[in-house]
Amino acid sequence: MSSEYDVVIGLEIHAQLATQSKCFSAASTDFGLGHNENVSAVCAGMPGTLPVLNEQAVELSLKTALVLNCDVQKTSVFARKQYFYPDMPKGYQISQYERPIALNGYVDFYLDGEKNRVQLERAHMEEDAGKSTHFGEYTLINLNRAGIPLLEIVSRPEIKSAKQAAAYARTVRQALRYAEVCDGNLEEGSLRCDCNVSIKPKGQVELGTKVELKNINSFRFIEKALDYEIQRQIQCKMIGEPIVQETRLYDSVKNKTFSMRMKEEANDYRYFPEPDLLPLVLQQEDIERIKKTLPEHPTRRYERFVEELKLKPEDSELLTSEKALADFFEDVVAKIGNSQLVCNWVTGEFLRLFNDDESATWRNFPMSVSAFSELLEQVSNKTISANQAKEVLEDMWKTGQSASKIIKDKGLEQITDDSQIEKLVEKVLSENQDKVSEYQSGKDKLYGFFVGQVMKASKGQASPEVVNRLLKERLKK
Amino acid sequence: MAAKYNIQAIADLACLKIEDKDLGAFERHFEKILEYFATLEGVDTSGVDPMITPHGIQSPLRADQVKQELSVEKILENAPEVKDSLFKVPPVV
Amino acid sequence: MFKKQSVSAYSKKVRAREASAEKTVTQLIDGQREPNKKLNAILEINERALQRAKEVDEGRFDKGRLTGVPILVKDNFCVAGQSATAASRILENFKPPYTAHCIQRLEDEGAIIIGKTNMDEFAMGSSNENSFFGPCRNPWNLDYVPGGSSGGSAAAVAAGLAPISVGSDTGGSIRQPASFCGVVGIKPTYGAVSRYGMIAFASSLDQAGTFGRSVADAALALEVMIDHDTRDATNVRTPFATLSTNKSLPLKGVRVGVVKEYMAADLNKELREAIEGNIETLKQQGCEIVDVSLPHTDYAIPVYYLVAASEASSNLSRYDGVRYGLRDLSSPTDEPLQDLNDFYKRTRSHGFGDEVKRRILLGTFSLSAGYFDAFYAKACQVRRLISDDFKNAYEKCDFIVGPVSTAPAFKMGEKKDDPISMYYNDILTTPASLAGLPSMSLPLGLSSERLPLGLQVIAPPFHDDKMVMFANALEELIGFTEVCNV
Ligand SMILES: [Mg+2]
Ligand SMILES: [Zn+2]
Repeated sequence: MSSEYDVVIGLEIHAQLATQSKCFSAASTDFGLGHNENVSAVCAGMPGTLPVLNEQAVELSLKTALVLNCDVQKTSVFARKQYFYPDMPKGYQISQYERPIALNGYVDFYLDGEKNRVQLERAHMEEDAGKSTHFGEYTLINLNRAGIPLLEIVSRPEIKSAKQAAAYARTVRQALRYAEVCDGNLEEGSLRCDCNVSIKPKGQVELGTKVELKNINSFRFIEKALDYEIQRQIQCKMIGEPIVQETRLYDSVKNKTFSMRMKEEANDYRYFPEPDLLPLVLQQEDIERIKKTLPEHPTRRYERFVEELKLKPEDSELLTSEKALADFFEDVVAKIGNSQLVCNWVTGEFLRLFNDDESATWRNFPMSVSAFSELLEQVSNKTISANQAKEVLEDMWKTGQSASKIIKDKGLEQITDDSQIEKLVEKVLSENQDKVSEYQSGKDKLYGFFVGQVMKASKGQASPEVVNRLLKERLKK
Repeated sequence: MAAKYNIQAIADLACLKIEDKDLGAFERHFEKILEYFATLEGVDTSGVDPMITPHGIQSPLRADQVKQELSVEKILENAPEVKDSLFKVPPVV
Repeated sequence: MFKKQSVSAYSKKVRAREASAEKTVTQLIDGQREPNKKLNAILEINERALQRAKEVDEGRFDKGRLTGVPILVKDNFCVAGQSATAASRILENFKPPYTAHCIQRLEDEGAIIIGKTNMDEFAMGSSNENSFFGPCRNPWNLDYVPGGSSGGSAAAVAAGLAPISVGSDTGGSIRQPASFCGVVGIKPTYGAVSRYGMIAFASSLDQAGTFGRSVADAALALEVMIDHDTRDATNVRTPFATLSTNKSLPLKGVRVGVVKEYMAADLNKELREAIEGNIETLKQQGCEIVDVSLPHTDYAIPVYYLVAASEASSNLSRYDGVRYGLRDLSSPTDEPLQDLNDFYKRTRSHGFGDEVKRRILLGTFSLSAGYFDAFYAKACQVRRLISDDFKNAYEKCDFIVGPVSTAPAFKMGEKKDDPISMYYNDILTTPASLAGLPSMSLPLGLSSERLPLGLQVIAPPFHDDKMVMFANALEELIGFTEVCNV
């Protein structure tokens, strides 16, 4: 990237709130159902129908506002944002405008080992539109999505690079998932990320012309789309072509952004307070009640893993990427201690199996804390070896049986009992008197032979540690 | 409040078409109305809280419960054009 | 048959099988044909009314307060399966699959919806001349307007086509036609009746109400319609359980406010005399007559038209030819569609009448960038001042009485080309609408031309029940018994 320019990026993240029913009607939010099946008269904007605000949408918005360190507004007001589009049934979108539910706020995250902070401007509640599908000859409209509650999280235009933008967006998603307010699925559109980007000569105060990027459906693409767009704008500057204020779409196949070619005459949305809804008023006790339900912030948890559990930053990042995983890790540590051992096993074998198993999801967590703890206990008290434990874990994954049952059925328990192993050592030595004499006369290499024989006699179950100790004692004599 | 306006531009925002032959009448009406409404300018409203709706203080909330009130057939039965249970419009976008 | 008999007495007979709902409904449906040709008050007769009347006679609604009572409903209320056009071409073929909450309430109490009535398109008008289905006429004199926008509902009750009708009042749309047609019309406190299923004109002003030949009749139906509904966020639980439909307020000591600004208006002479006569009578009955002032009355018209037009411009955006209603993409020159804007413009321009277009334009302008503060926002502030005027007045009085309009009904066509004087018509009804107050119109007498004169009563918010009791007392005092024949 050219160092002659400063990059200025602001993100607008639309998060679909995880409610059962829509923002203003009792229709289901499960938009995967048949065409127009989740549509009420309210969603279709039928004459005489009226919106009534969903309590859960308010709770989840409030929770998000607190997670994002925002100043929760005790009174917020819905407005009508007016424009005509076939998938917007009423000719206006109900959206908070002048008085949103949350102002300010910030998101902390680590990027290349450095702590970063992105400041937020606001977060406001609004309803989603329907979906238009364009065919050459006609356009079809599905209203299943119309009226689904959204929270729009608006950052300040202070993000300085594509990489920082992507890391910020990832952290927002992670925080939303931690708080269980949004499932954060970019491909399905339950999280949507629009990026405003402009460049200006280094040090210039006045902002350059901004371009809005839409249609970005993965975090990787946020970075790629922004990188492309920044380069394109620098290119424009260099050849003296003006940068046009417009909306551009990102094409991930070509890795390019292209203009939507829409008349961008300054839209006059004619916002005014929605007279069908009264102001949303929150009580301090609601705010306090929701505060008590907040999970630890993922970034804070990451810091705790590094500082208190002394885990490596990359392991901590991996473990805290999903709340379910971090919870699992910490619960196992709580049971058996030894956070480094648990970390190795969770980030290693556990995640390998998890990623290979298509049915395993964070919601549908594939392993219980007690089952995994039991296995690691056997490892830590050396009942089984690490290699055996891997095998046992795979069996546990496949069969759902407990570690102890598998170990018993497979006869994997180590023999650690001195008297039992002593008998085997005696037997091996008495059967190999000649080799004992050779060894004692200096042929050290033969030691391995004795170990092997004892292990063989124990069918591999003897604890190598105990065998070693007893053999050494015995051969000294 | 000698407001300048352009009827066609307003009509455009409202998605209305005013035929040329009617334009004069709409303009005259608009002019008269705005002249009449200019009296508001003289009212001192400094510090007055705007009244959006008569008695409401706080929005009631609805429990998050799903209810299918209308079947997809009922939702579509008044539609000018339907295909595959979707609303159909000409390719104008 | 309802000329001398109250609706509650009739309903009692139906419940006792002394009267047949089927017979009544048949008589009304047959009886309206000829007069309605002249009046154009009823737009559609409900095909299911007779079937329902039979069910009523079978005793299926014997617990109702309105068992067997035939009711006409303004065409901006949704009744499942019946047309709901709001007298607009854009909804000409629209049949909603749901019923307005307040109409459902009437049906739950055994009422029979016998049809839908004419109105000004989307309730925008004061003469019922703005209907896509042609004007409705005044049954007292067919050359005169019935008032509006609920002209059909008022005219139908006056002409005896039904004992009760439902209307909606945004800036006087119940009270003014009631006064022009010599019937009782009640608009409750804003928020008392659920707006769910009532086609919106201006959300912060629209209220459903009723017409009847007597205060008791109109109030009984209204009492049933007042019900808490969770589907309307602006609906409120009223502090009263009933409207005390049969009780009269003892007049002694009642403080009656007479508004200086209303009486200073350019009132028709006969109307002024009738109002002043009524005030004199009230004084003789022991009422305390109090002069009150509503200093911002002059601004009510600009404020009302700006607020209502702004909300309407938004509420009517949904009529776009996509999901229901008219789609007419024709053009005089047969040009192909140019763009999305053109797609909307064609249907909306074909579908809306001129007055609706005027108000959409006014509202769009008033909300547009650069004008919002001086128009919409300013109007909302002055609205607060108008509302505060009433608050101050009600410290001195219990009710306000005065004229409903500045004159009795005007001739058809008389104001059609003069929108300003048409708007000015609403000067005495819009203030109470802006403040959300309960108010009603009572017939006071007839002019020398045999046109009805009306008296308006305005009460403090949520005093609907006391207003009805006061109106019952007034009604006894006035003793209006004139009946029109069409
Ligand atoms: Mg935005
Ligand atoms: Zn948004």
